[in-house]
Amino acid sequence: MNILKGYEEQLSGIFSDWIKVQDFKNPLTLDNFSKNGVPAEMVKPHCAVCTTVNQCWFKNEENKKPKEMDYDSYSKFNRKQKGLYHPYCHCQKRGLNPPKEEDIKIVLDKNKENYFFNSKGNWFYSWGYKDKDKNDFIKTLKEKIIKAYVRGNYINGKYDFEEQKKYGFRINIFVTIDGVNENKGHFYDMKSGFIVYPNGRLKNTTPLIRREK
Amino acid sequence: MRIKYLDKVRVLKDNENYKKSNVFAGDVGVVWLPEIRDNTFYVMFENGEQDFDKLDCVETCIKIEDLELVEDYGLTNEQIAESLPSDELWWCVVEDGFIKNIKGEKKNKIPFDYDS
Repeated sequence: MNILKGYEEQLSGIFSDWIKVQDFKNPLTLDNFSKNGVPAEMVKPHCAVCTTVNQCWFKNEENKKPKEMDYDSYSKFNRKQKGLYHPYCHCQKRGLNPPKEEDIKIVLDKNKENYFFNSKGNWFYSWGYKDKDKNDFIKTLKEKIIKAYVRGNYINGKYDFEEQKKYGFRINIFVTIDGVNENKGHFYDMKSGFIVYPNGRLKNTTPLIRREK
Repeated sequence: MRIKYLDKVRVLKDNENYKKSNVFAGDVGVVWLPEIRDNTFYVMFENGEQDFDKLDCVETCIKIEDLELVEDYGLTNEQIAESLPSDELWWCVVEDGFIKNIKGEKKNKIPFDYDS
């Protein structure tokens, strides 16, 4: 029965819309190492890069989850040695019920929020918003970001091993800002940069960036 | 010279890693996360003008010795503390050749030798 359960769980990671990356042998996640990133020597025998995505949730689609190892050019590894992200990797994709909006927590730094209004105030006003709308704008933006994420409306951000070890796995979530007042009926395509933390937490790095058409 | 979160900074040297992110000496960016990790700041660089239709950005780690201050954003220690991931002991300020936390404690012993 246990063997069957193991296969069932592995299959769920292949066919589910959402996955949770899980290394059952590694109790450590990005949360344990936020102070200095994930130092390789401290997580041995586990992989530092894999530790940054341990317990994290991803849409099970290309470019919306960490890239899996392509073994086509590496015939020397047998089936058991072929780990998910690198040879001997312990990580597994486990099927996850699609996250609900209430499962997601957005972490947006207040200083970054103020910086956005100071440095990109011209955008904000050009969309028809006034100073008094700032709080509502942020509240609505967070709601839009959560909705977009649970719909899988995002792509992987810049991928760099060394930076991922320090900060975690980055994604860009797509949002559309609604123009208001004199700009009602206009829509502005933007993206918002995040680091994926375990179990549905998303830490904002860049509130809004223009989205290339 | 004091460099900290959200200050505007200039890159002083070229480096293969920066090049991969399309960042070169002379480029000006913003310190985009408050904490210093491995003697680097995480810096955001905007491409194009301050124009909604032209702007895009890249973010990458820059060694603190490769940065100079362009513009002080003016955050206080208390404001920086609010943005740090956990506690006030994080290294988050570069001042006079020393990496410091907001309590003023120094990481390096010899000025400008950030590994000392």
